[in-house]
Amino acid sequence: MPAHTVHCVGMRRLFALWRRHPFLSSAFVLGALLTAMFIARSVMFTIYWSDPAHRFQEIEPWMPARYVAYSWGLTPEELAAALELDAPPRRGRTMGEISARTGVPLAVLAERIRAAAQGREDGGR
Amino acid sequence: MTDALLALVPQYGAALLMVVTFLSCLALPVPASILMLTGGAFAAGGDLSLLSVSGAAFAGAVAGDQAGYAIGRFGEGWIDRQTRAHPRRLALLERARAFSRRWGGPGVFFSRWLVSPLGPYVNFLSGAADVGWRRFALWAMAGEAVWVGLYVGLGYGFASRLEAVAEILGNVSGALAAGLVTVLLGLFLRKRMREERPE
Repeated sequence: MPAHTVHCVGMRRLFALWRRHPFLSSAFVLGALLTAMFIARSVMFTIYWSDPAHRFQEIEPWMPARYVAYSWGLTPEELAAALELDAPPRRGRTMGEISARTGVPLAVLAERIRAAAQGREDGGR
Repeated sequence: MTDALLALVPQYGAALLMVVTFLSCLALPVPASILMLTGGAFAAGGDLSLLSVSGAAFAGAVAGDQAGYAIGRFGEGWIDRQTRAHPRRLALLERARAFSRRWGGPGVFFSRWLVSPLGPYVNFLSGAADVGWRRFALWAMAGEAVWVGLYVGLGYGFASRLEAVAEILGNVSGALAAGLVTVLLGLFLRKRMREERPE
């Protein structure tokens, strides 16, 4: 049997299957597409986040200050010094709250944290 | 919505996690996985206690599973009335029941964490298919322990890379769940084809 005949028979059988089970076969195709999309996205994000340029995540208002300090390799005391606070922030205090209390924009606070982390790294070398 | 919820984690911590894991077991669209990762990460920073985060998430999930199972149990009568007059639907239902009884235990266990997006539906189905309560409860608790341990643990371990872990894990988990559904649909289609065309 020539190759193109096999191909046609295969196509016809697939079409017949789809006509007999329209719901099931559509669901199957949709499932396969979704699976492929999730796999592609997993690979994409893995590549993106493996890039050293994306090593540090942005500082967001919802992040607690102690968590930010931990992420950037600072102690709560070092963070307080960098942000010019009198005492280390209490547990659960967010960056957004500190920004509102001190009146310093979050971007400025984030820059100070970045500088402090950089200074610590340089000092350690 | 996720950002707004994340802002509530430092404030309501464990209680919020309990509510969210509970709702996620009933197929409500709440980002339970992300919140557990976040809870673990905040515990690493010392903002929350690791024990209360894990305990609350586990308690919410176990209670949510029970609620889902109960809904399935009470819904059984309604499903029976809907299918009684339709032989094809009835046959499908019987298959689903036989499948659940056979794979009930491991199915419940793995749908807690490995293919967790399917978890809520397995809860409803387990109740409706009369998977024994004890069997369901034990496998569900074991599975939830793995789910909570995995997500809170990863959040704790990769605290400074929260966004990366959440994005990669979310998609891997989606791929696993969608992949399993696709394979099951494929097997079912193949079986149907063979039945209809004995060669």
